Amino acid sequence: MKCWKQRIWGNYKIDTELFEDLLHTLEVGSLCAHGGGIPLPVKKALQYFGDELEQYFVKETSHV
Amino acid sequence: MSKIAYLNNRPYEIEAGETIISFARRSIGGDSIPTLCDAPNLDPFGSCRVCSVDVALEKNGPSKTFASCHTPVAEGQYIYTVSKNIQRLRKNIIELVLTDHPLDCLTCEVNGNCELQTVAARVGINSVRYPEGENHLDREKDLSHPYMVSDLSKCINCYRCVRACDEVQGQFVLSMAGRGFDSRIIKGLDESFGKTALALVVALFASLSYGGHIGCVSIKVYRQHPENSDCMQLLWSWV
Repeated sequence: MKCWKQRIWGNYKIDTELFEDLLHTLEVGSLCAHGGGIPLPVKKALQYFGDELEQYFVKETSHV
Repeated sequence: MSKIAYLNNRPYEIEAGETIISFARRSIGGDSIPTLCDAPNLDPFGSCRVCSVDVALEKNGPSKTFASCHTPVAEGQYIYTVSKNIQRLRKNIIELVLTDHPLDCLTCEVNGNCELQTVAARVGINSVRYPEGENHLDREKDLSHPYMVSDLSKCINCYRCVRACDEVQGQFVLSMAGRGFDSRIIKGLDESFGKTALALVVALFASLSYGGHIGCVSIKVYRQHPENSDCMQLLWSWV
């Protein structure tokens, strides 16, 4: 039983470490607060709705 | 009484009005902080953020990240140029730049003489983790000019060419059109090199001397006729 997202994106899962690096770069390296502010709702969503969202993420243990 | 700021917990004297990066370069060496969009003879731009450093008000205290090219140094600041946070930031910025850059170093004409390559090696990039997405790698080379080639598939949007044409030469031939992902360098009224009012070769050489080190602008003459060394000497003496 697939949700609509799985039907469109297939089985692609987001790499957790890469995602966190991207959020960190946006927050710390952005020129203005527009970029710096974007990670906040994403982080909060992951914090409070982590149970629902973890199915879309995968923890890669190493990148060669 | 001289004013002091700290670089990696060591005190150095600061000069009035200087930026953190010129303070660091003067105190601990010219290559102490890696950069991409910074260039000598151009005003700081602050777009690449590779020169970012952590600045605290007390030793090992809570810090904030600033672009060192664009931030004046102040007395009593504790500046950290190689903290874990900064290393992570620099590596991720370069990784993002490389997602929209042809990874063909081995066949590129600036291989071995490329600032992007040097900075990527310095921050420790050996792969790009992002899955393939939209990019500008299909931009075609502009071969219309008799001795200038422009390969904007390699453009990293550092703006150095635009700034050089603006600040050094005052010709304003190059500009950036579009916004965000659609940003692209344009020549003249969005024409090719051959058509724009580039009667003055020197105008382009200002941008070449900065763009040439990322491979986005190169000299046809040199590539095709390396024996024309007299021509090359004359052209380069104008830079």
